[in-house]
Amino acid sequence: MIRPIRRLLIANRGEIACRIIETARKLGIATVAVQHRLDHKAPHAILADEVMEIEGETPVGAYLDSSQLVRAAIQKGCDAIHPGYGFLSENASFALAVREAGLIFVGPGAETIRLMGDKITARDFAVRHDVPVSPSVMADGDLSRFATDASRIGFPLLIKAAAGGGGKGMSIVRSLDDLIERAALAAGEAGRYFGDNRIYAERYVERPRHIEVQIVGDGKGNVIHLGDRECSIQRRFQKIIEEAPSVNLPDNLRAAMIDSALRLASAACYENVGTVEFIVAPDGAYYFLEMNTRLQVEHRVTEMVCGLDIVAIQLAIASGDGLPDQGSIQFKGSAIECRICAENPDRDFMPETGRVLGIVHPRQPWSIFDSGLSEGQVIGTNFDPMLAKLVTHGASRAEAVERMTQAIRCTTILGVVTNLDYLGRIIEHPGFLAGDLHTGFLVEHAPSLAPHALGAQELIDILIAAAMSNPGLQRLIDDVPEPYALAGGWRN
Amino acid sequence: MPTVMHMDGQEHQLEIVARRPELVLRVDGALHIVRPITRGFQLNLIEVDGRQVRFHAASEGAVVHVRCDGRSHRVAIHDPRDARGMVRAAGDEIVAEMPGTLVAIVKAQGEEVVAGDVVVTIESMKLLMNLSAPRAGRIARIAVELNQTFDKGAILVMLEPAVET
Repeated sequence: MIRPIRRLLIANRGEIACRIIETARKLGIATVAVQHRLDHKAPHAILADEVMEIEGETPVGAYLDSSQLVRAAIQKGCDAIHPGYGFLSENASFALAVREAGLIFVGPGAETIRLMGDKITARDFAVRHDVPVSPSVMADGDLSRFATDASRIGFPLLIKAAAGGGGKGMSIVRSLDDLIERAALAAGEAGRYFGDNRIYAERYVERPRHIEVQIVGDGKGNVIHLGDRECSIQRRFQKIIEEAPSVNLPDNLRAAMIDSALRLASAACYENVGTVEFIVAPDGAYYFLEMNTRLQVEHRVTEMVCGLDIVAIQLAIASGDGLPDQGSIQFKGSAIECRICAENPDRDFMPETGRVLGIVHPRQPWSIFDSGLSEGQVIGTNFDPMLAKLVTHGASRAEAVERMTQAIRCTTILGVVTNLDYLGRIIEHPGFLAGDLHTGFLVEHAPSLAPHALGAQELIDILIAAAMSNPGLQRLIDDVPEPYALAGGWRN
Repeated sequence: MPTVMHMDGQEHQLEIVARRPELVLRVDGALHIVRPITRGFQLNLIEVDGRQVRFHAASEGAVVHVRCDGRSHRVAIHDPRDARGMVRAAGDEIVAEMPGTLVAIVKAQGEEVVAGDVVVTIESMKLLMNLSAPRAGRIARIAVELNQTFDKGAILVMLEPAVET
C-alpha cells in the first residue's frame, strides 16, 4: 500500500536534521523542524519550512520527549516522522507511539528495533541464523561466577553493556583480577547510562577491524545491500573516520559478510535501512557485533560510492515503495568521511566548548561538508560533540585520501577547539595510507599522531598572524599616529 | 612596554618597532618586517620577512584563534597597559570546563609532571575523563577532594608558578 509522505517532522537537530531536510525538499516533501530554545535560529530550524519549539528539563530531554514530538507532528499536520540518528532513532516505544498515532515512522518496526537493540537478543538471533558471533558469557548478577565463566573463554576479554552503544560501559580486560574490578565498574556505568546494568563478556579480538554492511529491506523479507564500510579508526570505541569500500578486504570475505548481513536482515523481515556491524580478526574470521536499526552518521560514504540518496530510499520505503534493484547498483571509486568534533585530542579528547567565530569549508564536486553549524553559535556540552562531517570521493582510495588532505586544509572552524588537525595527521599517517587499519590504530600510533613541535619560523608566523588579527593591536598598528602610540606606553 | 602573548603555556613578547616606511615588529627579541596583503576572514595574507603566510583568524576578547598551515592555535594577547603579574600565566591550572566529580587523583601535590601527564580523572556527563597537565611543573595543589563534585569553571589543579626567566 502506498502512503505518500507530504509533510515530514524531523525529530532531530544538527547536521543530520539539515541533511534530511535537504532530501525532503528535493522530493517535494514539506518539512517541520523541532528546536529547543538553545537551538534558536540553528541552521536546521532555519532550513525547515516550519519550526516547532520543544521543551524539556534539559535540552537533550526535549529531543527525547517522544509524546511531545508525536503531538508536534500531529499539530503540524505531518504524516511521518524521521528520527535521524541518536536521540529516539532506536527507541522501540517511540516507533510504536508514532505508528499508534497513525503516523509513518521512517525506520523499521518496533519489534525489529527491540530485537536488535538488545545486544543479547540480537546475538541469539544471529546465532539462530548462522551468522558468526564471538564466544561470550552474560552476567546474571553474581559477578564472581561471571568472572569464572568468562575467564574460561580466555583472555583478553571485552566487557560490554547489554543495552550499550557508543562505547559506554566497555572495557578490555587481560587478567582475572582485572576482570572482577572492571565488571563491577562496567555494570555501574551501564546502570547509570542506560538504566540497565546487565553486562556481558566476549572474546576480544586483537587488532580487530570494524566493518559494516549497509542493507535495505522492504519488511517482507526482501533485502538488498549497498556495500560495506570500514569504521576501524576509533577513539574511545567511537568512530571518527570511515570509508567505503573497506580497504584491502579480500573478495571472498566481503562476499561472506554481505551474505551474512543479508540473511540476518531477511530473517528479521527488516524494513527500511539498517547496518549490520562485524568485527574482523586478522585471520579473516568475522563476528557479528550488532545491528543499527537507523540511518548511520557515515551513510554519506556509501552514497558517494553507489550514487544513491539513502534518505530518499528511506522515505520511499516508508511510504510503501519497493526496493532499488540490486543489479542496478554500481560501486564507483572510494569515499572517506572525517567526523569533526569539539574535543581536544591532545588532552585526552576532552570535550571543548566555545563560540563558533568562523566557518570555512571546501566546495568541490568531490566533497561534502555536512554541518548544523552557524557563525555565532555557542557550542556547549549539552549535545553530542560532533560538529560536522567532511566527506571526499575519489576514483581510487589514494585519490580520496589525497582529496581529504586537501579538504581538511581548506576547512576552518574558529572559536572552538576541534579535532580537525588530528584528523589531518591521521589521514597523512603512513599506516593509514597503507590501509593497515584496526580499532586500536589511534592508540598504537599515538606518539606519531601527536602534533610536532612548532619550528621557530612557524611560531613567529603564528604570533604575528595573531597580533595582526587582534583589534587592539591592529588599531595601534594602523591608525595611531606615532606620537600618540608613544604616549600610550607602547615603547620602552 | 611590549605586548605579552601566551600560546601553549609559553609566554612571548611582541613590540611595534616602526610603522613606516615598513611595519617592523620585535618578537621575542628578533626584528621582523611585516607586510599586510589581504585581510578578511576568508583569507588573510601577510608577508613576514618576504615569506607569504596565509591564515584564518578570529578574535574573541583577549584570545585570537588562528588556523595556519593546517594547524589551529589559540593565542592570548594581553593589553600591555595591564600591570605585569596581574595576568596569571596561561596554563598554571586545570579548570573544569563542565560540572562533574573528581574520581581519581593520579598525581599528588608536590609531584613533578610533564605536559600531557594525566593528573586527575573526573566523571562528567557520565563519562570518565583524564585531565592532563597543560605544561611541565610541580603540582601545587589538588583543589577538589576525591569524590567531590565541582561546577563548571572550578579550578581543579594548580601548578606551581613557572620559574621567571
